[in-house]
Amino acid sequence: MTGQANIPVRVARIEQITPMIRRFTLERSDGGTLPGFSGGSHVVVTMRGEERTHHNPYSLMGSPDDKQRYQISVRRDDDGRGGSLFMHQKVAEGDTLEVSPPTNLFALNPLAERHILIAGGIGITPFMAQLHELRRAGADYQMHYAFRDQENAAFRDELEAACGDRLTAYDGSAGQFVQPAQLLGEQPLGTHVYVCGPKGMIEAVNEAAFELGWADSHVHWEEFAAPPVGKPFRVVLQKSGMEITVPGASSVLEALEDAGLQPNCLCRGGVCGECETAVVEGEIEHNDHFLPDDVKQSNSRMMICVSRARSERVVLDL
Amino acid sequence: MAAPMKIATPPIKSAESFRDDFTYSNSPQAIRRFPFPFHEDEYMYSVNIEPHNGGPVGSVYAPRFDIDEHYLSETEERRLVLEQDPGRCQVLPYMMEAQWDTLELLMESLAADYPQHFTLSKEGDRWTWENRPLGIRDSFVFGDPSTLPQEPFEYITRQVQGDFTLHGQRDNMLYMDGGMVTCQADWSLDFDLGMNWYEWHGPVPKAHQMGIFDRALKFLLNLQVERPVRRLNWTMTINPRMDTSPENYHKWGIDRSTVTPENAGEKAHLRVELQTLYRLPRSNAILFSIRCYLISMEELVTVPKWARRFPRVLRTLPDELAEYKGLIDYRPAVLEYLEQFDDGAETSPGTAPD
Amino acid sequence: MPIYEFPEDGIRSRPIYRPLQPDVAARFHLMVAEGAGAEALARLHDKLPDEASCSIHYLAGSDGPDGSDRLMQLDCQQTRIHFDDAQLADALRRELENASMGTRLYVAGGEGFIWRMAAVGASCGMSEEEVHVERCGSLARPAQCVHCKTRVEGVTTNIYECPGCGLHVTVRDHFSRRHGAYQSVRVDAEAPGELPPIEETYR
Repeated sequence: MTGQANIPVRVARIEQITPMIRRFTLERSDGGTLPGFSGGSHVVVTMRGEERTHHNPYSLMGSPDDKQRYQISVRRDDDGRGGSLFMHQKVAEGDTLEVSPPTNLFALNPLAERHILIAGGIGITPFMAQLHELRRAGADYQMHYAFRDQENAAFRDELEAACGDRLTAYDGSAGQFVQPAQLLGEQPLGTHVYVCGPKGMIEAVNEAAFELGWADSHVHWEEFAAPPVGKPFRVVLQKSGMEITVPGASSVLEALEDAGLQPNCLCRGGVCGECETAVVEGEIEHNDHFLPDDVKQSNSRMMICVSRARSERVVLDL
Repeated sequence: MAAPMKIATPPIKSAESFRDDFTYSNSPQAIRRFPFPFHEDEYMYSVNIEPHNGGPVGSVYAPRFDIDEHYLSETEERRLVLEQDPGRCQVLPYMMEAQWDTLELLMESLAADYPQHFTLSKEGDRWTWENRPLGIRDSFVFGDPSTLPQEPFEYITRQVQGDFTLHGQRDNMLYMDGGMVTCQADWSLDFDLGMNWYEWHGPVPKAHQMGIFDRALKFLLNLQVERPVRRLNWTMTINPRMDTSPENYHKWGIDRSTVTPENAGEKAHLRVELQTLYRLPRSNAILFSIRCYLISMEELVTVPKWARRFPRVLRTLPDELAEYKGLIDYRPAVLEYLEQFDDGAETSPGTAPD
Repeated sequence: MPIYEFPEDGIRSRPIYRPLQPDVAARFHLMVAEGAGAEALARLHDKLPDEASCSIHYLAGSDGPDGSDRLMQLDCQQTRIHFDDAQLADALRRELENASMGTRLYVAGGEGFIWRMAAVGASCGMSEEEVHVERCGSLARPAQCVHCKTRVEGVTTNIYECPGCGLHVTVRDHFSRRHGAYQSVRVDAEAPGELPPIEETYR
């Protein structure tokens, strides 16, 4: 999965959806069609800034049938590492970006008898594409969408048009909140629940499902970890003998790329498992959703896209 | 790297048989483009997956799906197998999206790679497909199965060489959710349908213990759209028989007892599968194409490098694998035939003929 | 709980059976057995928390001991005795169609029975994780002839004559949960008439 050519895209349209969220419509800049995708897929957008290059994963939210354009939405994060700010402040219509081919780590289960979709805020984006699939398949589904207030209710009109009375909206400023235990109680066998939103919402849905005796394979969630900002540390690559410094605002992966290396990677959000790397020495602060807890505790492996060192120095089997 | 090989793709022959009188044979050009799978003189097991992004002009790796001189023979053989056993093509009901994905991928690839044989024209959802070698011209509505004579997966795979299987991906696992399997190396789609990755690979010896299937599964779970991969696999078959299914093993198994050093050149065949794997866009399923190539020992030894290398590989194949491939009993006869062509000289790197 | 468990040696599609354990996360325990499986359900019932909600379907009159009395004595919301496999499967389906998420299905009996009932669960949307199985009674194997697809319920020998095609077939360890059967393949295809010794392997 290394060294794969990205797809060059032109920003055809930028829409300010809410004060915090912009939707970008991307078209292939060489004129061809884009790869098809399934609902729940994301692409990694490469943004070449003057100071640094950002690689951020964003869910595709347009119709999977449309090969002419991709649509992504970016929520501005003023405290983040700069990728979303770059998209909001530096990118204009007509600019070019690069995207990876789509990957789906949050797919609908086609065997489900019923689908319950729960979104919080910007977490609505993967569902926007999945709703196309569910409607085409004539599936039994419910869409539950929570937002802070009316001003931040992104895409609400589009959702109402698409889902009709299958949509339940929750306006937090009016005291409306998703009640996972209520939603998940008394659901027929074969129901699957999908949640994308703030960490607390994902945890609440998981807890309710567990309390109600749901099997894990019926509970799906997606939460890309943005690589957190931390203290700088040294990385020693055992095989090549290289030694590099990982700055506070870069991930190990990015630091290796800045040094001219091309480690395996795919989602850049600690989900897909592609960049799993053996740790020879050092203590790790794990930020991924991939490695099992016992492996995390053993400090024997790390996901270099999101995890950092707790020690001042780590030695990796690279 | 060796100099780029230029190979002529031989024209499509009229139909030959893979049963009864076995009239199948390879032209000299077909022999030169045979996907000989051995890089060295000793047997080595590996996953050997690489990107499927083309290859030397005229080679079997160049097109996405290889159409060669045996096109009419193999599609006719498939028709015969299905006539006797319709269960060789089955797809589980929730895979309809993957069926259309397969039809789209195959039609677009064939029309682009072989414009002289195939044409696809689209007006919105209204598609017209023309297959000149088979004399087919059909118009249908993409997404509406009632507008095709068979379900989309069966319709298109009846027109392409090689077996195809469909794999749904759920909870970090792949499942055998469908297939068109008429030229297989001794496995049953009907029996394996619905199995997970580990179950359907259950009968393969050694590789489980080596962790090969764990690594391959992890790799395939992250396979991306438009980034297909490929690998080669091989076994041996007595007589140029495409349908070495377990279903018909009671008919062809006996062939294995008929091999002698005198007839091995004609009877024994190296069977190579070019396996390519595609992530299907809308269904997120994986399409596995298993394209089978057969070459007799007589044909194989016309390439001196292969005549030296193949007996060396065959001799070093571990017994457990020789048993699994069903060739342990006739291996000595084949080796006796082949060894007269191995002068002991060194072989050049790579798999291509010198 | 690992979803995928396979034998260390041999063909890995062969299922591994373990004594039934209650899935304590579940809200409702639906228990199904035939013959000697009654004992397994009784053991399972003993391990359930006191307040657990459960329902039992039992097939009496199949091979093995009749455990109806034993099961009727258990403290359970509903215990029903059936006298025919298809009738039990219908009753199970009706109950599952009205069941909610949080249900676990437990099946105890012979291998053919187990996978017929598991298929009912799967057709109602249950995943592998929600279905627990234990083999009880005879080790006789359900087998399907790969040549003529004829199914035989209780094969006890390594080789048998297929009633469909008359060939001598051997029972492999390769197992299909969809068919609920091991795969049988002609044993003397490469040397007709040369049969290995026939032994009673699965009693």
